[in-house]
Amino acid sequence: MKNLKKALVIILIFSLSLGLVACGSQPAQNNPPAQSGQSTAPAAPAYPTKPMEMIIVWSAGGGSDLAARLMGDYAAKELGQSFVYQNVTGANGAIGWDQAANSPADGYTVANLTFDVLTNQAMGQTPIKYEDFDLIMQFTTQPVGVFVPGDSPYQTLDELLAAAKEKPETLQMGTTPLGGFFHQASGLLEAAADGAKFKYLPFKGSAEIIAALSGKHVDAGIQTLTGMEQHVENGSIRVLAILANERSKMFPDTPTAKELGYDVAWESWRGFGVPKGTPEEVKTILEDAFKKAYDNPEFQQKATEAGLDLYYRGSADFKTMLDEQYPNVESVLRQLEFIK
Amino acid sequence: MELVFNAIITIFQPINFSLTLLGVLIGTLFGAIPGLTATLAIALLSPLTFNMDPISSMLLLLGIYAGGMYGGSITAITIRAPGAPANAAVVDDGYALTLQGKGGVAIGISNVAGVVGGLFSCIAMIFLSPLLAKFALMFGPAEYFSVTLFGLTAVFAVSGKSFIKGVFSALLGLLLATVGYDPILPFSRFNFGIAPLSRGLSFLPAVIGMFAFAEVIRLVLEYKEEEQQMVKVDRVVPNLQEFKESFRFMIRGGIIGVLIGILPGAGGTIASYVSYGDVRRNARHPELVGKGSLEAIAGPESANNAVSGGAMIPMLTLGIPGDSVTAVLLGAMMIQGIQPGPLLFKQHLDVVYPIFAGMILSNVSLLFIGMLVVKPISRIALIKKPLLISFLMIFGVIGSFASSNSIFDVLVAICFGVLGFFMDRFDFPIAPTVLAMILGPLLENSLRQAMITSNGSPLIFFTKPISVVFLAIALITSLSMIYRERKQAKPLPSGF
Repeated sequence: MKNLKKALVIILIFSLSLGLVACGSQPAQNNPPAQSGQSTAPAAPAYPTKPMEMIIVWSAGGGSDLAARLMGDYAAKELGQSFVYQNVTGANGAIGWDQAANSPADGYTVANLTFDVLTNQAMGQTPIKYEDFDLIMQFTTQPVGVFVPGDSPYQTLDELLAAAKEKPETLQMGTTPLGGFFHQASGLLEAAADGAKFKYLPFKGSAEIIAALSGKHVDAGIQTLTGMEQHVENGSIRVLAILANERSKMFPDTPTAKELGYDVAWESWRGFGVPKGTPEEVKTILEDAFKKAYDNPEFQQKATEAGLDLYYRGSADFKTMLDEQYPNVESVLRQLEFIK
Repeated sequence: MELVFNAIITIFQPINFSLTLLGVLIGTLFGAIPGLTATLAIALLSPLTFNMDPISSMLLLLGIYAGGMYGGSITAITIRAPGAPANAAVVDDGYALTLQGKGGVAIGISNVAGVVGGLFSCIAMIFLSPLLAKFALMFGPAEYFSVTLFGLTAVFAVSGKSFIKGVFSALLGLLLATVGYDPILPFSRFNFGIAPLSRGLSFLPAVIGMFAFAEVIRLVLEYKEEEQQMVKVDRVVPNLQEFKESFRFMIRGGIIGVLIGILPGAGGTIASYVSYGDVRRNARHPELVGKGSLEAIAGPESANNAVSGGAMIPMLTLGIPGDSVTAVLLGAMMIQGIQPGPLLFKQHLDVVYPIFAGMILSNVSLLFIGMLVVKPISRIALIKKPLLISFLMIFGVIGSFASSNSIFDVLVAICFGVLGFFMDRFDFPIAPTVLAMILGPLLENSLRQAMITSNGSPLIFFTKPISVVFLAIALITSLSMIYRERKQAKPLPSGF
């Protein structure tokens, strides 16, 4: 009987502490960066005086998540506080952005924004608009490329598009689910090539597209450049063109579509925002901290090692870029017949 | 050869050695708590590893990976709440053994099986990586569809008394799996306008509901004061006889785990069910399967641990993660400046060998750490019923909440609890529903991709050799299971 009682007490303690672990594990795990930055306390308004929350709409451990956490950790150091990261996933990010936009506009909730916020808005499936956020910064850009299997008969973008024009809807193009960023990029390319049509084979994500290209299950694929270097160097995949304004550092010998006469540059990006109506002073503090963190050579090195394409835009430039990009998202989705 | 020695010296450095052990311990504990999975542990801890040296951080993460796959079986066996989806296959037999007072041995067998499967997959990974990676690339949409269909034949193995009811349960699972985002078009379907449903039914809360909460309802309804009897936990180390009997399925589970693990996207859950089906067909005591068979624990638990090595193969050689854990590992490696892919084996053997050595070390230490926690945890079976019930409720709520920090998921779990209870009442087996909910999205996605490829012609499944082979195996296994069942069964009641 005595033993049993002892066991009961132990079990109760165990289950209580488990509750704490389950609900409190994320803050606990992510605290460390805070201590080291305590000395650089910000001036002016008393912000931030407590840990801040960052809402990441993609699942923990993925590319966007790792990028946001890396940037967030360094920004938190500058702010002398820490970020509590929350992955609120689902509905192509709409659920998390909805939660973030409706959080108090006090600077204690920061949203990780990605290109998909524009797609969601254009599709009209969610009430959340990119204008619902006051922008802080953009910190990466992900140019996309057109890839083919290593032994593909198509040596240039021209040849690929000519074939897609000659036999419309026969060449298989690997993308992520239709309507998304990769499909939009390809749609723009079709329009620029004036009559070319691919047959789309949607995959869950980049990993599956790479596998399909290496295994020759598609004729071509649209894909961000991140992580492609080895496959290209190894010869299992070839890159035909980059859909960006400038050539990439990773593939300096590969032409941009623009150089080849197709006016397509489609840029995916990652950045941060806070709910609309956040006080100016608070936004300034956040902007300064994120900029300082971005300029930190240690961050730059870590981010480059992690394969991130760093690109900085401050809040004003970021806003201008989105104002320009959004109508294009709408028009390409119209062309692809997703919206009227 | 020098690199191999260096790798061994590296992993036995005090810091690396203790990080591996720590990883296994964390993984086991995270695995054992429903809702907290190895994936989550790795995702939470990987930011902390940014500042470690690459090898140390990989060893910590690999330790968690190995521990997590085993840990989930502990609660599946003791309280019928699998710690992770991959452990759902051992719920029936494990819990039955716990009720018979053999929960300790069941966990012991699960531990040994995990180690055997894990080591087996390490060997496969070390010697066959390039070969298996090539094999994995041969799988296009049609091949994926056929292999998933083969996985679905495990429904017959987990159906229990009536195949018809089993098939019905599986169809229900397939239907539930269609809720949420369409795999091809960017729209959510069958969500009845309920916003949180737009991303689909979360799998783990559904499993916790159907197994654990359904059990809570049953325990409450059937509770009698005087019936309380103490179940003794005699021992946790399996004896030679038990080990010998289940060893065969540990190896078979290991093979299944490696082969399924290398296919990106398939993962541990499917491997454990396919292995369960294998046990059901070939066990020495098939009549015990589903009612407390050690063989039925050895197979699936070996298989899901073997997936770890299998999934590492495409991750390391192609840069393509085979499951959610390796996806997180891939991210962690890239943060460390190591880019897995075709060139890793050519340029970074100094990284590859310590990873191999570290996986072996984590599997060996799993044997000891695993055994250490068995005895205290298996005492859960000694708890009085009312306490066990509240215990199950607490764990179930935490588990379903923690997987995505959502109260809605707790509601999902409770609804599935009620569903599971009534299914059990009317003799509809629960396991086929669970299996179909896992395979549903894969099956739909590959079917639709294949149909796009072939412009709508189903002939594509019969013109690709690998696809034909798997379809044939699927057909043969189902027919043989049905035939055997008919032969064994007494004359069937009318209507069945």
